[in-house]
Parts: sequence; C-alpha cells; structure tokens
Amino acid sequence: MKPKRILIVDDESGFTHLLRLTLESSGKFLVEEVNDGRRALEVARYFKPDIVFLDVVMPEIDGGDVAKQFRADPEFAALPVVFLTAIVSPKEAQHQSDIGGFPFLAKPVSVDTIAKAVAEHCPE
Amino acid sequence: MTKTAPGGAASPQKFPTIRLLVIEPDGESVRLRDLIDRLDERTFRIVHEFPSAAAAAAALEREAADLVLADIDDQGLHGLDQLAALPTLGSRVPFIVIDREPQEEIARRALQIGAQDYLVKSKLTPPRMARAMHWSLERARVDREAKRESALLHALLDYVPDKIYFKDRHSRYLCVSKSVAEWLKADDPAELVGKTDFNYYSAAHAEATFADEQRVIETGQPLIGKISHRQLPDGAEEWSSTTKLPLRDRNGRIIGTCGITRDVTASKKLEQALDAERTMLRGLIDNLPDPVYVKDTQGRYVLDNEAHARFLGVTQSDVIGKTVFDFFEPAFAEQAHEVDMAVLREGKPWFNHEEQTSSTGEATWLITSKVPLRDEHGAITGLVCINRDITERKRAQDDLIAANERLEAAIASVKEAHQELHAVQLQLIEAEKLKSIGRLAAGVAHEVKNPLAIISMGVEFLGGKYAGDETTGEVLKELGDAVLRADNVIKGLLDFSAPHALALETNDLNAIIQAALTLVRGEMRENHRLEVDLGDIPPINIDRGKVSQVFVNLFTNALQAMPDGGTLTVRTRVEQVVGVGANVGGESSEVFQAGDRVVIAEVADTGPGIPPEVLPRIFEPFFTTKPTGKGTGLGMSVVRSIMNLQRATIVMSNRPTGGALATLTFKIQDIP
Repeated sequence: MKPKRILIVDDESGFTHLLRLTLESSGKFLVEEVNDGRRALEVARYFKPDIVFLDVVMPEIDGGDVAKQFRADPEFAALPVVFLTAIVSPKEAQHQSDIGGFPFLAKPVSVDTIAKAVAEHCPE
Repeated sequence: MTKTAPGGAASPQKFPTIRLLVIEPDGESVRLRDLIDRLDERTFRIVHEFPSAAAAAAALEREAADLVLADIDDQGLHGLDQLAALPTLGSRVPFIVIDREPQEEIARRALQIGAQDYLVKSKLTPPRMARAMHWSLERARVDREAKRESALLHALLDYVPDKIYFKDRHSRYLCVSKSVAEWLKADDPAELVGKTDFNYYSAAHAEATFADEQRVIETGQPLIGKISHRQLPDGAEEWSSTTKLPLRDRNGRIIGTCGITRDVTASKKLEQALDAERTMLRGLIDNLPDPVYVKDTQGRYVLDNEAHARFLGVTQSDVIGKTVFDFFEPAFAEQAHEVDMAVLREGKPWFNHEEQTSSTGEATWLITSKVPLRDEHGAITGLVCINRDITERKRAQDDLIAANERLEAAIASVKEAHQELHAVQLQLIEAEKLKSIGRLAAGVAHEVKNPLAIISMGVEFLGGKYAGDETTGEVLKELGDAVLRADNVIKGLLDFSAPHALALETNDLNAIIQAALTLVRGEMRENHRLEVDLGDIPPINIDRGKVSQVFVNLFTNALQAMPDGGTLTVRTRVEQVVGVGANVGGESSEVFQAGDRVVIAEVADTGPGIPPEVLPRIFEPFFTTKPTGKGTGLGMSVVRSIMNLQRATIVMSNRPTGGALATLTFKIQDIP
C-alpha cells in the first residue's frame, strides 16, 4: 500500500517535527512540514499531499486564509483540509463538526487521531 | 280725735258725743253751758270747764276734748296771748274764740293764732253756736288732712331723688322738688317759682320740653317714660326718663303739667354696655367661619350665626325655633338629636366628633362640639354647638393618600425596573467577565496546548521507540498522564469561558434532562440507581446546549460523589414564589419576586454531602474537592455562570437525609 502523503502546516516546528517522526516511523505516511503558512501552497505544489493538516493560529497568515488559498487553487480545490486547533473546547467540539466548512481536530492530538482522520478523509 | 272718722260730721246722730272744753271766766252773765244745754241736738257735751287758759293746760295736754270754746271776756289781746301759749291748742285741738263785743283787731289776731272762728257772745244763739262748732270741726279736719297731704307731698318733693315739678299752662314752675332746685343750682325750690326752662337750660332743650308740655296740655294725654339724651358741658352724657301728666283743677280743666324726670344714665350706660357686648358677640359669632348655634332644652334653635344659616342653606331668621329635623334627613337628625339630648341630660360636653352629613346633597365632613349651657343657678338651659367644616381638609387628606399610593406604586415599579436592570447588569457583567476570561483562556490554551501537543507527540514517539523497555514505558506513561491532566485543565477553562453567547429558545426542560442523562450513562456503575420524577412543566426560555451542560456537570458530580453506589434523583415541578428567600435560594431576591411562577429542578445524590466549610466556596472557579487530576475545579463555576446568564438560580445544599442537593430555579416567562 502506498503511504499517504501528509502536509502539516503549523508554526510550531517542534510539533511538526515530532509529528513527522512519529507518523513516518509507522511507515504508513509520508510527511512534509511547513512552519510558515505563506509557503504552504508552494510546498504543496511539489509535494502533492493527499491531505493537509492546518494549524489555525499562526503568525503572518492564519489557517483560515491558507485553507481559502487551497480552495481557490484549481489544483487543490478537492484536497482534504483538516484544521488543528488549540482553542476549541471539547464541549464546543461536541456541537460543532467544522470550522468554516472544514473539519477540525483539537490539540493535543494523538497519532491515532491523525491516522483516523487520514483514513476518513482519504479513503483507498 | 280718734273717734272722728272722715265724713263723720255729715251724720251726727250716728256719732258719739263731741267733747267740749270750755274756758270761761267766772261771773259771766251768759254762760256757754246754757247755750249748749239749749241745743236741740245732744251731740255736744261739755266735759271740762276752766276759768282760765292756764287752768286748761293740763287737760289740753291730754287732748281730753274735741273742741275748745275759749271765752276771752274782755281781756282782748292779752287773752289771745294766753291761748296762744297753749301748744296743743289749734294744732291738735281746734278752738273757737268768743268775745264779749266784736273787735276787728281781736278777730284777725284770733284767726292768726289758729282759731277756727271768732264769735261774739251777745249775738250767740244756740243754732248759731251749733253751726259754728260743726263748721270749726269740719275745717279743722280739712286743715289737718291738707297739712298731712302737704307734708307727704313735701317729703316727696324734698327727698325723692327724681326731679318733680309742677308747671302752669305756660310751663312756668309752680312747685319743684328739692332735687330740681339742687340740679339747677338754686338755694331754695321757691326761687324757681314763676321761672321756665328757658331760664335754666339751652334753648333747644327748653323748646323740646316746652313742646312736650304744651302737647300734654292740648291733648290731655300723658307723656310716659320719654328717654332723652343730653351732652353735659363737661362732656359727660346724661340720660333721663321723663313722664309728664296733665294737671287738672276740680272741674277737670287742665291747668298745667306735672313732670317727673329720672336720671337713667347709669342704667342706660349698663344697657349700652350690654348692647355693645351683645353686638360684639353677635358680630363675633356672625363672622366666625364655623357654624355656631344655640339650642334650647327641646332642641330648638334659639340662636345661630351666618355661617350656620349658610351651611343649612337658609337665612338666619328661618332657623330660629326650628329643629334639626327641619333641615336634615331623618336618620342623621335622629342621631344628632340623641346627642343633644344626652348632652342636656348628662351635662357633659361632647367634643370634636367627626361626622358626615349631606345637608345640601354634597357630602360634608364636620368636626362637632356640643357644650351644655347653664343659667346662674347651674341648671341646664340649652346647649351651644360649634361645627367645623373639614371637608376640604378631608379631601386634601384623601388626595394625599391617593398621591401617596401613586407614589408608592411608582416607587415599586421603579424598584422593579431597578431590579431588572440590576439583573441585566449582572448578566452583562457576567457575560463581559466571561468574554475576557474567554479571551484569556483562548490565549492560554493556544500557548499551552501547542507545547502540550509537542510533549504529547514526543511521548508517543518515544513510546514507539522504547516499546520493549518497561521502565522507560512507565516514565512515558506518567509523562502522558501529566499532559492529559494539563490538557483537561485547559479544556475546562475553555468550557468555563465559552458560554458567553446564549441561544435562548423555548425548550422542554424535561427533554434536556433526559438527553443529559444519556450523556452521563458512561459514568454510571452497576450499583448506581436512577430515580427520575419529571413533573408537568411548561416550556421555558433557555439555551438548550448550555442547560444540558449544567445537568451533565451536576450528574457527573453526583455520580462521582457516590463511587460506592447510591441513588441519583432528578425531579422537576412548577411552583409559585410565596416569599423571597428560602425556597429559591439566596440570590433569588435579585431575580424572583413573590407571585412569580417558576420551574424547580432538583438533582440529589446519596453521597457524603458537601462539607459545610465547602458550601460557600462551591461555585468559585478552580475550587475542587476532587483529587488532583480528577477535576478541573471549573465545573460548578460553569454551571452557575450558565444559570446566571439565563436569569435562573442554583442553590447547593445538603439533604437532611444525607447527600447533596442542587436546586435549580427557572422563571416561567409568558410566552406569546
């Protein structure tokens, strides 16, 4: 089975780095990290991700704008985008399934959660 | 003399003998006795005979005779002098002088000393003698009477203080009393004789009296009690009462006037003083604004003032003699009459009684006082009554009461508005507080959760790498738990700060409770029992999601308080707030008022209850009794925040039978 290509956009380089190490160690995923939201589209063009995990609160440009850029680009219009956020409470999460039309996961997030999300949004 | 009565001489045969005392010198050739003896009638009897006047003195002193016949023989004037020396003679006993020969001088002198007659012996015959004696007696009697009357008149004229005066047809004084002379500063009343008022008084006064007297003379009608007033030169006033009568002679012809003038200045002044006092009192009571009236013992009005007449709607004179029954309805009149009679009977004043009447159809309020009137002997003769019309005051009082009621109503509505405002303010403050806490929580969450995410990810990475190493695995497990704990605190903080936006909708609280119960199924153990008693309650305006969170939190706490099993009870019902306080909790006065209809929800457990020292702090954020890691300390704070935002209350208490009890109160709003 071909490993899924995951693009992680988050200004926390420690997080993206550890997430890459962990996900890739399972052998099921190929991960590329972007710590500057403004570079997300550029990296996506050569990395060609199956799914994007997008941090909401970032300097210079926030996750919402990045998501819009993806949606606006014909190449990535159908690309699954999942937000990762630190400021949504679990109770809110109970009543909300998306942010601005995109699904989201609340930080801290486990590898299992990521894996489930990938499985959900990128079926074989 | 005592034996002589008026008119006695006219019928001598009926009369006893007239005693004669004879003074006759001895040796007279013609004896008086002989003359008397020869009289046909037997009326005269000589009781004493004396030869001289001196000899007769003692008998005369005793008045032992009715008539003296004194023969002076030829002694002439000497003989008369001897007679004149006898004091009784003439004054008390009449006498006749008898002379031998007629002598003009002796005759005159005899009459001067009081003799009734002068007879000449040589010419005497028995009939002539008898006639002379009768005549003398009669004249003596008339004289005596005239003297007596004159004495009486003069006593009157001399001593009566009233001025008495007799005037002729020309108003000239004929005779005046001493008081008139004194009044006119004359030494003797006789001085005035012949004078007129024009000699003594002002022309005006004299003319007036002259006119009065002439009128009496012309008409023959007396002038009785004419009051006249004079200003005296010294400024004093003089009042007099004058009566004038016509004076008539024997033939009834008017020959003048007789007047009596009495000084009535003193009584006139008294009268004036009384008059002035009466006028003053009259003026006083008539000008009193309050009705005043006096009634007699029969309850008839005998005096009233203008205010009273006005009050009755009639004139003053229409009131006198009438009774209360003439002016008022029978019921009121009967009542008033009874009071009058009680005051008259008991003699006790009846003070300041308020009563309502409607004499003119318009309701009138009166304060009435009734006081008994007594005469100088203390007997009750009637009563005085004073009314005070207090209708205006009463009306003003009513207006004041009404105004006060309006004011109180206004205050109450202001108070209510204030309470509502206060509640809204609290809600806004709460919401604002939560908003800032929300912003803080979001910031903290972002800043903490990212590192937590890294740690968490790192632990997971290492876990994969050292899967076989037991010690490292344990360390990583503890690291993972710590991350989870920190993460829970952040989650709680976010939950606490989240409910600042309410979505109030009409909701069925029972349905929300049922849904919340399903959410906590996971927390329930086998030994947990559930008791649900949801009453018939109306829909209420609440945020479904937030209220659900409240119940989830309460159920979770209740279940966690009973780790060894127990009963979780949930009840709902409708109540009406009877008073502010006990049944709706400490905060209720801000939110609920007596009469409000509320929905009460109770969540009870059979756990250990809440320690008393914990109760006051139970809603404080980060206050928890759970072991570290088991609770965030925010659950109850979130619950109260949510309740407050919806203007609902929650009170935590311990049940008497053990376990904790949460009482939630929601206001039932009128839903259109």
